[in-house]
Amino acid sequence: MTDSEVYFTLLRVSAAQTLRSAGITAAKPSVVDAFTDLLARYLTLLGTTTRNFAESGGRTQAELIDARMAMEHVGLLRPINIFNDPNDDDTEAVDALVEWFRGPQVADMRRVAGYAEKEGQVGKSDEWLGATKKLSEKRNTTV
Amino acid sequence: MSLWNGDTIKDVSESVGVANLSEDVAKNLAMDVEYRIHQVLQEALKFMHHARRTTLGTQDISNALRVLDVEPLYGYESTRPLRFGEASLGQAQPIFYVEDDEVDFEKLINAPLPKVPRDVTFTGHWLAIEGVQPAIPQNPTPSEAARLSETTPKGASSNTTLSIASTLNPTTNETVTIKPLVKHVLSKELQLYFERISTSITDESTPDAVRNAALASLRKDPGLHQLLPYFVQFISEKTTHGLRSLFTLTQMMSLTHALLENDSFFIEPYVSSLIPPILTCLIGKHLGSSSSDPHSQTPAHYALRDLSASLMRLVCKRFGDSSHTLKPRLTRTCLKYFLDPAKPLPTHYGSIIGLAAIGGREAVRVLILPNTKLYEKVIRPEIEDEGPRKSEAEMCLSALVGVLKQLEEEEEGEGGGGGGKGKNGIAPIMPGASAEEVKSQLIGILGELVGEEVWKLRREALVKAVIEAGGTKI
Repeated sequence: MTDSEVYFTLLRVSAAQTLRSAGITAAKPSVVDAFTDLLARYLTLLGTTTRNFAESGGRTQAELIDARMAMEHVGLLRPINIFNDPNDDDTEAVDALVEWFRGPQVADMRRVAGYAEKEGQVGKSDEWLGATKKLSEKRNTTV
Repeated sequence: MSLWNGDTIKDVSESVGVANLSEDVAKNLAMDVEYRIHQVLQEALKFMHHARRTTLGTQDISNALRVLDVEPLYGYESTRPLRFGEASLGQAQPIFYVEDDEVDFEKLINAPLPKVPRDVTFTGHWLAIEGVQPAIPQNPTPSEAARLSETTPKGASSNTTLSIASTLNPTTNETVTIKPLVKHVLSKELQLYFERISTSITDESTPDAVRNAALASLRKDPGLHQLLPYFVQFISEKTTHGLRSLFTLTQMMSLTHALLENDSFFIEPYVSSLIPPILTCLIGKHLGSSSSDPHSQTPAHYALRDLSASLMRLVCKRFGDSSHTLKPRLTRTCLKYFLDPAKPLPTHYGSIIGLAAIGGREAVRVLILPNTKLYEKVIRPEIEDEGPRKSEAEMCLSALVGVLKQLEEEEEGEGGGGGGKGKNGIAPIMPGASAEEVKSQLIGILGELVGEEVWKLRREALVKAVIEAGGTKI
């Protein structure tokens, strides 16, 4: 398997988990592939926009502020107040995002992905995470 | 006009929802479709050429769409092969569709993660060690190697090499094919040289001068290294098949000697192949034909055994240090043959002088001396009975005595200067011991026959050495 195939397959797992947590149990593979493709492009878009903002600021290394501006640019952080007063500490959009992260949707996604939040839940969380860790170790030490 | 059928356009429009489409509209749309596809393909081909590929891929199309500011087509990243199913409309015109069965997410999520490919690395491994290819995973297996060698053109020289080796060794063809990946190319001169030398050495009718010249050339000439394995094989073969002919055996030993003398040979890996012929000529049961005069005092095979023993000494001196097991192995073999009373007497002769040659003074002191008394039981009946084997037994006796002389020889250099020589007739002087006592002590150690002989030699230092060595044993 070439590199890109491995990445795509790994991302497809995440995409499937997201869909599963939304309640969809089955789909055609082409649909899953299209969704994975969308996800990949979206992540790439976020990344390139962040990089663009960083370079506009004369930096080669992206900072948190670049990431936030990229998210606003892309439309992830809403609502955006375009008449932004620099003295006004308007963090409504970021608060909304943080709220979402704490919300039930994400909790369900975590559950599907195997990140058990409750004590009693043992299971594939360890295996899946462990397997990925092992893979990356193998990858890094294969010389 | 255009490649695209009007019917295709109508089908697509129906699937979208536009029910009836007139002919002209369909035709125009077809032309437009063709133009768009051409455009996309052109851009995609540019991407393909720039990437130095000849296979058009989905990535090229995606890039082309990006360049043309068109919405990208999602979902074509996957490399799963598309399976096309057939569905016939009943008009013998099948419609193909992409088979796309629904898949359960649980299966997708719980499926094992893909194997991460290795980074580009490079390592080293042994391709061949001393001409032999080790069977490690990085090397091709023998079946693959055979397939590869079939495709390489066979030069004329390699054929003659194989034929030479096969004519000389009709029974040992395996040695040629064990190493298939090493093609041994011998020049014509070398092949000619080998033939000439081998025939002249083994042919009894060639004059001595020619034979000596051949051996001298082997001894001195550089650049013969490639022939070394063939010579070694030749020696082994002739020795095993020529046991009846003393001449052949002697010639083989001379050949071995010449090979050992040559400085330019790296002979160490062949030492273990040279040892068996030498051992054969040393302790073989029946060397030479049985028609040799049994009553002559020194039949020729004793000379052969002496030559082999001196060769053995040479080999041990040169290679005894580099190989840990060489000397012990040889010593063990000789000792085994010496102590086996069932073996014929000439074998004992050979093993005695062999032991002395391999181990020198120490071997004599430790291995032969303690066994001399016991050995007497073997040779005494032969000598006293005047049987057919008397001469052989006497040879063994003289060998023993000669070997025991070695015990003393080392001491000569220490300062016993003229001590061992010319004391005939003078009674040996031992501190506080009379001649008779010494003699009886000597006989006690060595047994009667050998003891008498040693006493007759009248060598004080030798007697002293024997008594010392015998004394420590008891």
